[in-house]
Amino acid sequence: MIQFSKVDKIYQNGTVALKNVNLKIGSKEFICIVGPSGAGKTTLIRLLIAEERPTNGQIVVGGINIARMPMRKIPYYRRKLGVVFQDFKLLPKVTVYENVAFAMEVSGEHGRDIKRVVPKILNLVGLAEKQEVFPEELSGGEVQRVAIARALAHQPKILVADEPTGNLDPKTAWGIIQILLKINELGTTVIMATHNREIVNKLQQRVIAVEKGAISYDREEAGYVI
Amino acid sequence: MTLVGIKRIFKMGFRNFWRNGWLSLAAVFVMVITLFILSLFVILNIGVNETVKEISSKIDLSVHLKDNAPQEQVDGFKNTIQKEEGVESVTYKSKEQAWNEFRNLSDKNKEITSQLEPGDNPLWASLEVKLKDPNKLQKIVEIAENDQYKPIVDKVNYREKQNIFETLVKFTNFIKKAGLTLTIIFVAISFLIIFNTIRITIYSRREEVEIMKLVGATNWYVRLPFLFEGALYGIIGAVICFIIIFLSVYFVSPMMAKYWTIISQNQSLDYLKQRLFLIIGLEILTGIVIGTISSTIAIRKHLKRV
Repeated sequence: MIQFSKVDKIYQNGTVALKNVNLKIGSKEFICIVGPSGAGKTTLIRLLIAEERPTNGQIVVGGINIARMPMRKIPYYRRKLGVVFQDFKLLPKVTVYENVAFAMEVSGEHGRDIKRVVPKILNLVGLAEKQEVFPEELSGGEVQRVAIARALAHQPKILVADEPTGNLDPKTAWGIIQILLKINELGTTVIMATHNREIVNKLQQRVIAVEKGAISYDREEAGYVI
Repeated sequence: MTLVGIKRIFKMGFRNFWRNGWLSLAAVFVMVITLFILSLFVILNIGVNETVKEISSKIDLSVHLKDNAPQEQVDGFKNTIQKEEGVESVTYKSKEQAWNEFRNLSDKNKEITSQLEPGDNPLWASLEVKLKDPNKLQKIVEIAENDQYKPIVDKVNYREKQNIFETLVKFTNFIKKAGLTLTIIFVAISFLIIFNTIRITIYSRREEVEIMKLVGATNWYVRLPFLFEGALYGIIGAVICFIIIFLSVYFVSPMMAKYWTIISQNQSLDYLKQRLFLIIGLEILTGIVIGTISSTIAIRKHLKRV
C-alpha cells in the first residue's frame, strides 16, 4: 500500500533529514514510528502527506508515485489520507462540529452527506456531546479526539498521526490509542509517530525506529527500542 | 467545481468581507472615490465634447459684401467657398433681407427703423457660411481676404466666436488631462488599498488557509473566496458610486442649468437615464477588474508558501 524506495530528503539549508529510506507498509497495519526528536519522524510524515517532496527516490502510495505528483493532484491525494497533526491545526473560532465538517466542505461534499457523516464520526471518538463546543473549552485529550475526528472525515484508507499523545497524561493518552486501535480494526492503516515508550510497549505492534535520518529497526509485535 | 463548492466560496467571501470590518469599509470607500472620479471624467468629457460639437456648428462666417459688388462675381465667390472642404452651407443674404431681419428682431428695432427713410438701408448684403469642421475656419477666412475678392468683399466677421471656440478647446483638453491623471492616481490607490486589505485577510486567515490545504482543498478553492472578496469591494463601490452620481445629477444639474444654458436638467438626466445600464455596468466592471487584479497579486505571493 505504501512503499518508500531509496528516499533522501535534504532541506534547502543543507540539513539531511532522511537518507536512503526503504519502507513497505501493507494495508490495515498499525505502525509505530519511534525515534528521538529530530531523527526524521516528522519529515517522514510530511513526505507521506505530500507536504514536502523527497530529494531523491520514490514514494508510492496506492500505486501512485507521489514524489512526482503534479501540484494540482495533491489536494485529491490528501483527501484519501487522514492526518492528525502534532499541533492539531484546529480552527479556534468554530465549533467541534464545524471543524470536522470543514474538512468535508473543502473537498466539495454535499451538505446532507456532511450532516450524516459528522455526528457518526464524533460519536466514534466519543465527542457526541460536545458538538457545539469551541476547541478552547475542551481538554487536551478532547482536542486530540477532534483532530482525529477531522482526519476521519474523508473516511481515509490511511490515518497518519504525529505525536497524538504528546502532552497527555497516561490515562488520556491510552484513551486516544484505544480510538486509533478501533479505527485500525475498522480497516484503516494507522501510522503513528511517537516517543511514548509505555504505549509502544503496551501495544506490541510493528515498530519502525528512525535514527539520524535512517531506519535502524523494523520489527513486528515489538516494544520500544531506543 | 460543483455548485456546492461555488456556494461555499461565495459564503466564505462574504464572511471575510464582513469580518474585515473597517478595512472593508476603507476599501469600498476608496473604490467609490476612484469610480466617482472616473465616471465624472467620462461624463464631463462627453458633456464637453457635445458642447464643442454644438458650438462648432454655430461657428460661422459672415462675409460682408460691398454694395456695388456685381452679382456674377458674388455667385463665383459663393461657388468657390461652397466647394471648400468642411463647409456645410453658404447662403446669400441680400441687403433687404438683412434689413427685414433686423427690423423683426425686436420692437425697439422696429421703432428705430421706422424713423429712417426706406432708401437709407445702412446694412449690407452678405454670404453666411456655415462650417462642419471648425478647424477649416482659417482657410475660408484666407480665401475671403484674398486680394482677388477685394472688389466685392468688405470684411470678414468671425474673430469673436473663434475666441470662444479656442477657449472651449483648451478647456476640453484640460479636462481630459486632469481627468486622466486623477483617474490613474486613484486607480493606483485603490489597487494598493485592496491589495493590502486582501493581504491582511489572507494573513489573518493563514492558519485556516494552511489547514484547508492540508485537508485537501484545491488551490482554486482557497483562492476564489479572496478573489470574490476583491470583486465584492468593486461591486459595492460601483453601486454606491452610481447612486451618488445619479443623485448629484438630479440635484446639481438644475442649479447648473441656471448658469450654463447648454446643459439643461432634462438633457443630462435623460442622458443618464438612457445610459443607466451602460454606466452602472461599466462601473461594476471597472470595480471588479480593479478588485480581482489586486487580490490576484496579493494571493499569488501567499499561496506558494502553503
